[in-house]
Amino acid sequence: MGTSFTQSGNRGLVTLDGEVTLPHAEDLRRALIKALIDTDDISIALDGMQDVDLSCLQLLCSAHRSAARLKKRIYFAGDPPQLFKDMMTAAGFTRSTGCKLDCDKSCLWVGKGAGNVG
Amino acid sequence: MVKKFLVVDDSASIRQLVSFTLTEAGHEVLSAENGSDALQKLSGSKIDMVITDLNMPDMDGIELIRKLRSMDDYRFSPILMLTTESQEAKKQEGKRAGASGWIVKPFSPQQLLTVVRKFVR
Amino acid sequence: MSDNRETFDDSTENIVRELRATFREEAYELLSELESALLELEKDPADNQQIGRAFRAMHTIKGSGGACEFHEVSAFTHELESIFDKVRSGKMTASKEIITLTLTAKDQIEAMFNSYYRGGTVDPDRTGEILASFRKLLPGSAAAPAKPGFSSQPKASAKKEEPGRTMTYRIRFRPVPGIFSQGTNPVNLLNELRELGKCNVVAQTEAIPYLEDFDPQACHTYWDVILSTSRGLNAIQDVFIFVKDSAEVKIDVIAEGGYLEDEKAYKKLGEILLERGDLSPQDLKKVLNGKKRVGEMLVETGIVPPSKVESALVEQQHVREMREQRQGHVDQGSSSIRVATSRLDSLVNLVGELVTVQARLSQTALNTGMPALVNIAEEVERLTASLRDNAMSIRMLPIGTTFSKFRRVVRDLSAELGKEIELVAEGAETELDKTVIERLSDPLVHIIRNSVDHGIELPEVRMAAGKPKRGTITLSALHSGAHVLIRVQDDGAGLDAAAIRAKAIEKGLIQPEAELGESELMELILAPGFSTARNVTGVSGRGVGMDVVKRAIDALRGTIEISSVPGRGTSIMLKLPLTLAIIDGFLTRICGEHFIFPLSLVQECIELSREEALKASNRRLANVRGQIVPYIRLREYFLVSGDSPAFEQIVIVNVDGRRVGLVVDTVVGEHQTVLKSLGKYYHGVEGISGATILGDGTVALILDIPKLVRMVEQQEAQMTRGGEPS
Repeated sequence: MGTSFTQSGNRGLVTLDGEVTLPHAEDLRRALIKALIDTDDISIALDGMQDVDLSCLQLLCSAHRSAARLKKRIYFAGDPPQLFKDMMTAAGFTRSTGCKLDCDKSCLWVGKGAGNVG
Repeated sequence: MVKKFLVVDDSASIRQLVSFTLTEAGHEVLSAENGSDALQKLSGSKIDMVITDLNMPDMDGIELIRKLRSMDDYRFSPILMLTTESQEAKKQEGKRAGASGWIVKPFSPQQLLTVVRKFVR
Repeated sequence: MSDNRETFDDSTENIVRELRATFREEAYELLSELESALLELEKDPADNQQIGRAFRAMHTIKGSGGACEFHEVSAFTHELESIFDKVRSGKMTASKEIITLTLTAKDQIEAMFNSYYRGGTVDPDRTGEILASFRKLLPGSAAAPAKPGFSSQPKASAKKEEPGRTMTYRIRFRPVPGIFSQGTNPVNLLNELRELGKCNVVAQTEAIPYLEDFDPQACHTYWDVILSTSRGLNAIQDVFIFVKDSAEVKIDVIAEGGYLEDEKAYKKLGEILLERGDLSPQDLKKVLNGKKRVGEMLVETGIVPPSKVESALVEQQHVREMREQRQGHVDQGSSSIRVATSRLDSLVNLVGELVTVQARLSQTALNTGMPALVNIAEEVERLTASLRDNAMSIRMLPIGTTFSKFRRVVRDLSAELGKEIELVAEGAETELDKTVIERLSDPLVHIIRNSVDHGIELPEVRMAAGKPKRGTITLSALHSGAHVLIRVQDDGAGLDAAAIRAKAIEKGLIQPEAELGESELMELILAPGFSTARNVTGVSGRGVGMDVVKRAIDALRGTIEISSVPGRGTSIMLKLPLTLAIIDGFLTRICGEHFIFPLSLVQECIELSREEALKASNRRLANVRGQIVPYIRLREYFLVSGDSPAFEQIVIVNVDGRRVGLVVDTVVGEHQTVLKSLGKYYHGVEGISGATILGDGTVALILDIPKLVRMVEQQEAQMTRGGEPS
């Protein structure tokens, strides 16, 4: 719920609001697909999220991969909120290098998160 | 954060034990006497975890788990079964129906909280 | 060489002396552990947990005592242990006699320790007598016929008691895609693993499909986890107990505790990947022939996905850190070390000095106005604050460490007086400064003795009054802001207000016609030389009574509150500061004089203009957003000379839930305050609790706000009473 997509020229903005969790994952997937079809440069705004889980991280990862394949750009609008960083750390998504599809070094997970806390 | 639980058991003392333990731990607890009572009490409202007995009159635990798993609102909700030592077959049936875990009666409040923490924290 | 024996010392004697010095504190802790287990056991003789606790305490006394060459202790405890083992294995029940006898034995062991540590004497015959009494209680013949397998049993349990060694595990956790629809969130399981020890988690995301093929309700991720824990394989398996059928969980031990010193280099990256099955030997060979580093080659050639290489690197890093950590620890497997209290005290003193110097540095930096210096000063300030908090927290102990002593007091006294009393302790985990705990012990014993002696009635009296035969004394502790509240409550007869009054008049403490409120009346029992007990018993009522308690609590900057309901019981509440050495202060100034408020009491500051002050000069009430707050002019209270500025400041503080204003000239701001006592000379000065030295070397007085407010109120009350036309 609360996932929205706005377009201006070839730039898109996907806004994730409220609970970005499993029950709303399909909405998010649709929004991301639409963004990738309609625009080339997509920023993702996370500031309005109140809850996040693994399903959202997986989807964003998938979106980034899909974008790399299409030679499009996808990135976070600004520094992600603490809540999101905490989930990244908890789910072990923080990275020091991107995946093999990440040719332009734009992996969403590199250098973010709250560090790998022991 | 306060989490919302639903405890389903036809034994009032078990309901009380579970509900007292969870309330003491700072959570909110709804109680129901059997499966159909549970569905009625839930009626689409958000719940963080369901704890249910298996043998109950009217609608038993297995049936309740199946029903919940078929509903969009509760497809991913943690469901804990209350079983007894001798109910191994029932437990397997519950797992197949989609239960997330189980705890064997009798259990202490501490044991319950330990298991609950696997799903809700 | 002042001691002659020194010259004859061989090295072992020195070692033993050091061992014994180290063991000293533990020895007494073990004894009180044993005692409290026994007292618990007395309540429920079938409580296996307490039996185990008592047994473990004996076992450790025997073992460690033996290691320190307390042979007498060791031998005696060995006998004791073997008798108690019969209780543990269910061959004997923990009867009242057994418990009483074991308590006596505990006292005997304590006497043995005392003879070394505290210069007491032991009666060696007593040891034999105690053992003889024990043997009398043994069922039938002492030598039970050996059952098959019996001899291996204690061994097995001994193994369990051994503190677990830290092992490092590699865990691959691969849930089935449908795991979400079983209500399981894999991240919760990862968090549970993190609670077991040092843990690194790397998600493997290679399998996440493109958006068009993505099933949003499926789990496409799996995890590599490196975990170091002393909790054993079972604890790890327990985490995954509900996902046995819905996840592939592979757990390997990759490193054990107790390495060889020189075994510093951990496995190479290629080796790790081979072990994990993420790389084939052929591929590894190919890469090894290349010129670049293995990791880079693997990623570049695309043989192994980057996330798997990363995961292997994390493993290397994790093991390296664990080893460094282990080398830092001299005592393996234990996460705490023993330090003499005197060292902690000197640490806290040094921190105190440092705080003072830091305050000076900050001020000097501000005065010079060099931004670079100010930055450094701020950094130092931050570090000092956390150093201070750390040093303080080291001194914190749970108050429960003293509780078992009280239990013994209650038990022995009530037996002596023929009363039945249960002591209930709550909040034993509440922590406060070690010094406070130590200095609190005697006053608490006194209060509890009083409750046992004067508070709780004899069983027959209680029954006649329709109360349960058994009286209860509740000892509770809890944190409340910067304070700890300790309450001793009994369900006894309560304080007799009329008797207190009569006694106070008799002792000349009050005038016969004095009108006193209930709490004032109750507080009379804290006055020196007051005791209402009709008979002087051996227990309390010797005349040195609650005034000793009062003085001890005053010295701790605490307060005592007494309330009582006749026939229902008495409650004595002690309110104590968490620590004695350093407080967060709020610095203010009146002319050239500095005064410090405890920051915890300060609520807000408002301005007071001269006109307002004049207008309200008789009433001393300020209007704060519609609320009337009474205020006190400190300038007058402390007789500071000089003129007040056009605008003064009212610092509003919270005293016992009421808002009261205190007027100063200017407010300086927050100030880390190291308490220094004022010495005997100023002991009588009411309203000042101490002093501190400011950054520029001047002295600031620390206000004792509650007392100050009380003083002023009393003065005012007298004035109004006296000023009334008669």
